[in-house]
Amino acid sequence: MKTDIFIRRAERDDLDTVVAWMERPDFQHFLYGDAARSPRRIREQIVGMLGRSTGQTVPAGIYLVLDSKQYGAVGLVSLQSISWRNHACTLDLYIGNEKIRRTSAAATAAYKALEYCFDEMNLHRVMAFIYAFNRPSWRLFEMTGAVREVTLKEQVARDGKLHDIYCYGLLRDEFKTFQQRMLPRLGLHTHCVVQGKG
Amino acid sequence: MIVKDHSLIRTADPDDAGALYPLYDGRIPRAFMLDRKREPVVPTRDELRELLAQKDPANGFFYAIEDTQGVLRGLAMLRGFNPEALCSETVIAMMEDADYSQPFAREALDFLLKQAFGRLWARKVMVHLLDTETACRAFMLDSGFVLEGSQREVLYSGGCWHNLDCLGLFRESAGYGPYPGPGAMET
Repeated sequence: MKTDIFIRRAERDDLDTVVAWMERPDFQHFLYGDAARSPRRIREQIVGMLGRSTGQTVPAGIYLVLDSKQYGAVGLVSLQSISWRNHACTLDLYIGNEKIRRTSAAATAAYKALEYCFDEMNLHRVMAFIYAFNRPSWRLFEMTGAVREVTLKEQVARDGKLHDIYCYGLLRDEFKTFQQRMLPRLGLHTHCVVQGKG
Repeated sequence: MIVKDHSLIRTADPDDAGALYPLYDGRIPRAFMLDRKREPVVPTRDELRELLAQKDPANGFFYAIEDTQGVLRGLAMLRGFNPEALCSETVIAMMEDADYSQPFAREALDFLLKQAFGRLWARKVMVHLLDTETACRAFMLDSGFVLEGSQREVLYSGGCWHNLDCLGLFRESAGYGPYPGPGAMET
């Protein structure tokens, strides 16, 4: 699997792209929160996410854009609830470009995000909450060695039905095992660097 | 104020901060002290006083549990109501592990369930417990809560990793009947 997907810090120039993703019904289906948010509200929220105070040395969250020379910006990685005490975070991975959503490029995107968490941020644990109906997403996460630790029964409403939410946890050792096993097959670099937009 | 056979349950007042403070002893991690990052928040007595003085329901409902002698035995909480899942988090924090096997603990939980299912129309209540809270875990399981899973190694404390258990109880299982659905309350 060869792909040119790389991750970089999200910038204000990415705003229009991310807002456009979030306004699409197929994308909103997988988002937490009010689907009726106005474009202005979404824009304000994202500006708040992307903004960073220079005096704030420990950010509450880190937002990275999945970029590609072939496709352009294809998705967003959000690392939330970062705990430096517990060396843990919650990961949200959004693939905005629907053309790659079910391709190996999505798997590469997930790998890059996890590689950044463990090899750059030196985390011990990465957690992800995934809706049960989002099967491609949790299957992808399971491939990395993540364990479905909790099933929150009937926790989210979509289309008049209540669905379960799965809580996945991936520990450092588990990711390293996956990395050793898969790297030769994936043909990926062993070192991950957040690149500038350039 | 709710008077039961073995307890008196009332809203916790700022003046209870001193008596309740041992519950927030940082040496023994408890799940209810964890924030979103799963880091324990250990308030000072003044901060606890401020917390108990808050009247905004969005911050949760805090109740003191007294025994028949008027001794404060624990804290009951209902917080984090999720309007989408109609789910709320419950906390029963007793001063001593042995208190979970006392009738006043059961009465306090029954009161919380009545508040959640009978007044807030919650569909489900949840409890989060660290692996150190064995007495409370046994009490909740004995009360009908079902283990939904365990998050591994979420907290580093006391030189080791701790798991966080997640338990849930649906209103039907608690004997409150099925959720009536949207519009049932309309006249």
